[in-house]
Amino acid sequence: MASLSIQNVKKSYGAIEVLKGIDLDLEDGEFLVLLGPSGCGKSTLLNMIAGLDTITDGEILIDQNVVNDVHPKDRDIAMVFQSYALYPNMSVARNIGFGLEMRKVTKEDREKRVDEAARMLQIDHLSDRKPAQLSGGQRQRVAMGRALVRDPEIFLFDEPLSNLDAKLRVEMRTEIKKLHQRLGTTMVYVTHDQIEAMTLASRIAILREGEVQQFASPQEVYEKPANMYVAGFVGSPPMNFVPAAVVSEGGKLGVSIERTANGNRSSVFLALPNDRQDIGDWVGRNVILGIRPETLTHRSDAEISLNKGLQAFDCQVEVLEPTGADTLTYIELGGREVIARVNPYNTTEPGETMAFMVDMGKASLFDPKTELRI
Amino acid sequence: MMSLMTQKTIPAKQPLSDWFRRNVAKLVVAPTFGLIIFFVYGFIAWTGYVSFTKSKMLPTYSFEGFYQYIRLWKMTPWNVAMENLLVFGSLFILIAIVLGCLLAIALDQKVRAEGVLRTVYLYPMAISFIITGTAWKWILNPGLGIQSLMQSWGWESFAFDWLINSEMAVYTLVIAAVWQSSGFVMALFLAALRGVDSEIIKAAYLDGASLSRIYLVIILPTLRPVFLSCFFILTHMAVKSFDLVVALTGGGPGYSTIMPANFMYEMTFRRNQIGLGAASAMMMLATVMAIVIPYLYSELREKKNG
Ligand SMILES: Nc1ncnc2c1ncn2[C@@H]1O[C@H](COP(=O)(O)OP(=O)(O)OP(=O)(O)O)[C@@H](O)[C@H]1O
Ligand SMILES: [Mg+2]
Repeated sequence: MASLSIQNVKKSYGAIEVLKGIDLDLEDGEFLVLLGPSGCGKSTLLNMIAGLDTITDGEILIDQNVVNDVHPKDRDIAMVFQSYALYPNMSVARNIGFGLEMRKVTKEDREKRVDEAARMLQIDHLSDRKPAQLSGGQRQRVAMGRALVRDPEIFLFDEPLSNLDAKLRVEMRTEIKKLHQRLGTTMVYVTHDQIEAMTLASRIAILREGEVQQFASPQEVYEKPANMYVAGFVGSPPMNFVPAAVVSEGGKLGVSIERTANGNRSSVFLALPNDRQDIGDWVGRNVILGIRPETLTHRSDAEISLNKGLQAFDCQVEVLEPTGADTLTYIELGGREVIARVNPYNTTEPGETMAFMVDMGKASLFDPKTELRI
Repeated sequence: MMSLMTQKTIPAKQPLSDWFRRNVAKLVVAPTFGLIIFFVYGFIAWTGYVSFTKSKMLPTYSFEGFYQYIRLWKMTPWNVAMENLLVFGSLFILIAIVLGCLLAIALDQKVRAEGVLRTVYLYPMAISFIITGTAWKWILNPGLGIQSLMQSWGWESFAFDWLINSEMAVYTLVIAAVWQSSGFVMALFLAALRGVDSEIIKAAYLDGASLSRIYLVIILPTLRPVFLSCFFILTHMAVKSFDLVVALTGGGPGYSTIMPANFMYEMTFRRNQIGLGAASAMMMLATVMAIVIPYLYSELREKKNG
């Protein structure tokens, strides 16, 4: 177990700057997920932590020691690769034990530990097989076993589940989570799947074009996204963005939004909760209102009386998409398509007007120019 | 439904063009197939038969049993040729594979001038053995090449006279053949090395393996098919080697560097001993078969099993 600190790390390939100054600090036992689209530099950063790639600028510290020039094998790091990277000519058991073999662990001890790891991952019956004779899921487990058996300070995972089918992916995700809970080892996990990131992470770092957009707990990333990019990347269906104007009405600050109801186009005022009075200087200016689909639903007076943040309004329904548990109801607000999650028993036919409520306490406001959270 | 309809609409009046369309592939292959049957397998059979006769300048067809084979194996030149084949073949194959493999590994380390070096190493393969042989004859000639160069630079006692030393001349064949072929071996290995997943190498690094260990224990074992391909390509080059000997040593000094193919040519076309030549040709065929058949057998069996 170890803490990990990445300080202003940069990486360039020739003239191309792939990482533009990454700062991340991990405490002992944390589960960091690096989340970002393809090509944003996630693998590059992971390789640099492992020591497989040189660092152009900045420092990486493990347990307060700078490891920039420490050989990969001396960093006590184990990594699970996207392609699994099993040694094709070695049996499963030797694949798992190879790291111990190189570290001159006695044969007896080695066999014991390999056996233990294989049993933990339920691949002990496959010990004598070659990687080519395994299914994708089994190979994935061998790759995990190879990392596990070394009992390293830090685990690195580079999209370990992206080659598995949907069902197996969910299963393995849970197993990785259990593994982390049992071992308590520091883990860094790369993925472009936001659900994996949300379920596994103790903290998420969202990367875009070599820059960290936000570094926070999953809950904070979800509820208080630092900018519109993060807001749109995390959550499914993604956050709704509605152009709105900040206005003051009856002594309350709120936003005014254009929408169609009962055949008439008009503005509706949605008051912001009292703790959002900090945006006083935005009055009269335009902002982007970010609303998660589940905070926008059919009107319920009982709930409104309990939660002061809930604001009611009417709007014409455009399209219905039933998903079983909820019906995704498409409406138009401020000229943008917006998705609301509505209980299937409270839906209204497309074309008709329905009463909605939105939890303004959970809404985000963004600056339309900088796209940053206000 | 569609196919039923189209079948019905084909007029039954054009059987010839229909037959032609169905058999066009066979028709295209047929001439070459026939030629191969006749010129390759037909002549192998004919040579095989002639090797059991007492043919001299012209072939005769009365069967004489193993007369020529017994005679063949009693002849010193033939035994020298087979010994040469063994020495030359094993050294040539071994050195060419080891050297080619090492070159490929060296080039695989992301050398800057890789493109140029690859071409430089591969180029000898584009030259015929006759030219290779002639060039090396000059290089190795004591009066013209390395020896005289070294001596002219002041190293008076330097001697490198393998070419005219009947004990050592066969090794000059090895030198020239390795020079010609190791680049080709390198190209095969380099292509295969490029196909190795770079994540495997990274994983091995993290596991604590040194570079030499990574190549020896992890990468090279996966290149078994390349080793086999090289081995068989080089083997048949060794058994067939004829032109290199002609150009480099002419079989000499004496007959110390002749190869079976040279012996066969000498007997068949120079000394009017067609029967003996045929017998030696059959022995060469048997040598190749002895190596290739077990290989084919194991390959086919592997396919069936896996
Ligand atoms: N050796 C290299 N030379 C030049 N550019 C490179 C090299 N390796 C990576 N890059 C570039 O660096 C960027 C980041 O690559 P990286 O592999 O880290 O992406 P990633 O976030 O892991 O993407 P993915 O999710 O597709 O794996 C890419 O734009 C890639 O083209
Ligand atoms: Mg990647």
